[in-house]
Amino acid sequence: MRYDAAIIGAGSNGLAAATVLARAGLAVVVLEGRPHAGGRAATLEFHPGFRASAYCDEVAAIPAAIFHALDLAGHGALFVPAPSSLALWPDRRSAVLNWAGSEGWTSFFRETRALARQVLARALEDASCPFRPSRLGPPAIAAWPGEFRAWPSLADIAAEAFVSPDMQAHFAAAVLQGRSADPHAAGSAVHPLVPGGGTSGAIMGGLGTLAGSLEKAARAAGAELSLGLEVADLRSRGGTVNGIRLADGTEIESRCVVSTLDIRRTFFSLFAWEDLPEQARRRAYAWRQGGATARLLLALDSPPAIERDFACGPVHVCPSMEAFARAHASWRASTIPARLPMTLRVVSAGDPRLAPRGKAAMTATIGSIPHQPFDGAWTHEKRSHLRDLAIAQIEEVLRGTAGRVLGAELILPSDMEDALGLASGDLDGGEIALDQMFARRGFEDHPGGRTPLRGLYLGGRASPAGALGTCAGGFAAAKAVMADLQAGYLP
Amino acid sequence: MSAAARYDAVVIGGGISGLVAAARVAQAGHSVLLLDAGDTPGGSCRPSSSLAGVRLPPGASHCVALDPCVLRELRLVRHGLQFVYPDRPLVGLSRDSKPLIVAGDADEAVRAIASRSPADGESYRRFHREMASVARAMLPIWGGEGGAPCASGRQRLLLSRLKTASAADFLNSRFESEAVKSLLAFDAVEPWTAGSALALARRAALEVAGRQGAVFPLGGPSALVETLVLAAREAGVDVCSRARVTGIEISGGRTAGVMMDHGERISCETVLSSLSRHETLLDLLPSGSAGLAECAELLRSRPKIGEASILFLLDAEPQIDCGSAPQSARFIVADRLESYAASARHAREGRLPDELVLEAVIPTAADPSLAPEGRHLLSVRVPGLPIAPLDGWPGLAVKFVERVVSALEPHIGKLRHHIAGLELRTPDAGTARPGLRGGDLFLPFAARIAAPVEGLFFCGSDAEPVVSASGSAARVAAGFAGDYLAWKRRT
Repeated sequence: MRYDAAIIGAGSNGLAAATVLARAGLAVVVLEGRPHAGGRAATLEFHPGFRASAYCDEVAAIPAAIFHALDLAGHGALFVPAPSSLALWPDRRSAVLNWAGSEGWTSFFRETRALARQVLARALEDASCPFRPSRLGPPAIAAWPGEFRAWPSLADIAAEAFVSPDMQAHFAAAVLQGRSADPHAAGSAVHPLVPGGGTSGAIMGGLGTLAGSLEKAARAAGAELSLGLEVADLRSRGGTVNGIRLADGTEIESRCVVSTLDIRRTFFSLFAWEDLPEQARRRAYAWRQGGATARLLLALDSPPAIERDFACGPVHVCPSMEAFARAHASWRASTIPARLPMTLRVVSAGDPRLAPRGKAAMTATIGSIPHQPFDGAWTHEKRSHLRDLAIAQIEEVLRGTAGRVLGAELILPSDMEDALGLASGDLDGGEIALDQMFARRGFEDHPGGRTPLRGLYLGGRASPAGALGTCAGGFAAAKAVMADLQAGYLP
Repeated sequence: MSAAARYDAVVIGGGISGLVAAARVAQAGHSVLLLDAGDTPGGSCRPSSSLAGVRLPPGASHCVALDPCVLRELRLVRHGLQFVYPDRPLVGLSRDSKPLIVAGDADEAVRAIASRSPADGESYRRFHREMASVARAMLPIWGGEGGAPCASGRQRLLLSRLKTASAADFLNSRFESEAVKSLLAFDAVEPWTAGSALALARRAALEVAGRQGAVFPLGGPSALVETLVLAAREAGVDVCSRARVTGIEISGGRTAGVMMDHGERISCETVLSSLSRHETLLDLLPSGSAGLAECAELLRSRPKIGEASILFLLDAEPQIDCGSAPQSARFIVADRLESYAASARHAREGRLPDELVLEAVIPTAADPSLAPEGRHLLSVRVPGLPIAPLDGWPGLAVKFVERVVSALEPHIGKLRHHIAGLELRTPDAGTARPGLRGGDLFLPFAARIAAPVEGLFFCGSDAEPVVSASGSAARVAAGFAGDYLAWKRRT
C-alpha cells in the first residue's frame, strides 16, 4: 500500500502531525521503534508506589490553537497551570516569583507571551505557504517577530525587569531550568521566547496521560500506529524521498516522510552518506546539539517542609547569575558543575496519586550536566557522586530532606539518549542559540520544516516551530505537507 | 575666544576621529571649533610621556587602519604623511608547538595550516573565500556608504548565519585544530557572544577596502595626528587645546552650545562628539535629556570588561621565535578557544583571568624611528580584563605586568633582562565599549552616529563597527553634520 505520509517517531510531535493529516483524509502511518507511544511524555514508577514523569515534569504549553485543533481535552488531557515559583538560598533567603503579580514581571511576561505567539504564528504561516523552489537561489527572508528581543543577554533583560539581584537570578533560573547557557552572553535572551521553562503547565497524572490522549486522538482520526518497528533507511530517488525501509526489510511506500528525529539523526542515521545533498550534510554536521539536563527522582518518607503555597512548586535551589555562567563553563568543559543549577518539584503535592499516602515524590531537574564527562562515560561512581552532590545541595536549602530519602533514581543525558533516541540526550533537539533559532532552525532556505530533499519534512524539536511549544513542530510539518500536496510539489 | 564665540559646529576630542570629523565639516564650508582636553591634540595617540624619546603611546600601534577615503579627501600625502608597509601575518604562539603562521596570502596560509591538520587547510581556503565575499557584501555598511548589504542568495544565507552565530561556534564547526581556532578567534573581540562571527570578516573587509591593516603612518600615530592637525587647520578649523568640555547645552530639543571647565560657553548649531556614547550622553548632556529609557539602558550596560595595553622599551632587539615569519608580524598568545570565555567570566567577577589572551607587535621592526637610537619597542594588548577589579588597578598593576612578561617569556628569550622602561594603560571605563551585541556589526553607520538629541552626532570609536582608529565613522558623521547644518539653514 502507498501511504500519503509516513511519520517517524510517535512522540507528541509525531502524534500531532498524524492526527492533523489523518483528519484531512490522508492515509498516514506512524512508525515508532519503541513498544509504546508518547516519547518523552512518560510516567515512570521509579520506586515501588512512587511515580513521576521521567524526563521533564512540565511540557511546554501546547499552543491553545493546537490544543483545540487536536481536541486533546476531549481525549482526557487535563492541564494544571504553572504555580508561583520560589527560590531558596542556604542562608534562609527566599524570593517569590508570581506569574500574576511580581514586580516588573507581569508586563514582561505578557509581552514575552505575546511575542512567542507571534513567533509561532509566523512559523505556522511559513509552513502553510506552498514551497516554490527558485533557480535564483533563496529569497530574502524578512526578520522574524521577536528576533530583536533575542539580541541582548539574559542578564540584561533580567536587570530590565527586576531591581533586586535575587529576583534577577530567580528569573534566570525559571527561564533556564535544565538548560545550560551563559546568562551574560549576548543572545541568551532568546531563552524566554522558547518555552520549556516556567511558562508551562503540568499534566494531571504525569505526562504519561498526555501521551495517552495524544495517541487516542491520532487513532480516532484514523492514523495507523506501528509500534516496535525501527526505521532503518529512507528510500530516495533523484533528491525525492519516496518511502521507508524498516529494520526487518519491509519497504513502505509513501508520498512524503515527516521525521520527528533531530537533524543529526535524521540525516546521518537514515541516509547513506552519498545520498545526502551537500547542503544537508553541512547543516547536519554544523548543527550543535548537546544534552544538559539530568533528572533526579526522589521517593521521600514525608513531604519536605516547603511553604504551603509553593508545595508543588518549582523551587529553585540557590540561583545566581555567576553560578549559571560557571556551570555553563563546566558544561562546555564536560565536567560536573560545583554548584548545580537545580529546580525541585514535589510532584505528589499537586497530584496525590503519584505517591503512597503520607509520602512524597519529588523531582529535581538539574541543568548543565554534560552528556559525557571529559574522563569517559558515566560510571557507577560518577553517578553516585552526582546524586550525593545534588542531595547535599537540596539539604542546604530544605533541611532534613536527606534523611527522608527512601529511594533515588538518576536519569542522565546519556540515559535519555538511549531511552528516547535523542542525539546526545538533548531535550531541545539542538542548542537554543540565535543561529539555531527562528528561520535558522532547520533549513533557512526551506521554510516550515522542509528540507533540501523533496518529500522529507522535519517535524521534531529541530524544526522552526518545534522549539516553540509541545506538538508545534509536528503540527507545522503537517501543515507544510498539506500545502505542498495541494500545490502539487509532492509526487 | 570671546564670550560670544559662535561656530557652526563644535567637535569634542582631538583624537584621529575628532580631527577627521572637524576637517571634513570645515571642508564643507562651515566654521568649526575643535576642543581637546590635552596639552596637544592627539587623544589616545599622544605619545608616551613617561618614556623619553618614544613616539608611541601604549596600544596605539594595534588599531590604526586609516580609511583610504580620508587619506584622499584630506590630501594627507601632500601634507607630508608617509607610510611603511610591513609584512604583517598573524602568528599564533604556543608553548607546546611550533608557531602557526597565517599569512595574508591564502595559499601560504593554507599550507601552514594544512601542516597541522590537512582538513583544516582545506577549511581555511573555504573560510578565506567566504570571509572575502562577506566583506564585499558588507561594504555598504562597513564602508560607510549606507544602504543594505548587497548579497546574492548564497551570501545571504551565510551572512544571516554569521550575523547570529558566535565566532567560537562558527570556528568549531569549521576547524578541528585548537591552535587554528584560538588564533582566528582573536579578531572576533568576544568570540562567545552571538553575532561575533561576523567580526571574523573584518580583517577581510580591511583588505577589500584597501587598508589591509598593514599600512602604517611613518613615525607612528603621532605623525598621523600632526598631519591631520595641519590638514584641519588648512581647512579652517580652529583647534583649541587644554579645553575640557563639561556639558552640552540643549535648547528646544536641539544642541545649542557647549560649556567648558573654566566657565566659558560657546554656542553652536551642531556638536560632534568623539567621546564614547556613555560619556557623552550620561556626563555631558543635562540629565535626562537623552531620554529616560536610553539613559537607564546606558547605566545598566556600563562596560565591565576592557583591555589593557603595555608598551615595553627594550635595550636589545626582541627576537620572537617565530620560524619563517617576519618580526613585524602580529603575535597572538591564546592557548585555547575556551580562554576567551574564561577571561571574560573572570573579568566580570572582578578578577585577573587565569589564562591571559594577548596580542604583541614589535612596532620598531617596521619603523625604527619610533624609539630612540638603539632602543626597541614591544607593544602588548590584553583584552578581557576587569575595568574595576576587586583589588583596584593600582594594587594589581605590578602583578599584571609580571603575568604578561611571564606569558611572553617562553617566546621572547630573556625579555625580563632587556626591559628599560614600560608604560601601562589600564582598562578604562571611558573608552571601553559595552559588550558586543549580536547585530551591532550589522547596524548601519547612521544608527551608531545618530544621538537621541537633534544636532548631536558621534564620531569616535564607538561609532565604528569594530574598535579602530580608521576615521571612517568620523567621515560619515561629518557628512551627517554637514547635511544637518544645510537643512537648518534652509528652514
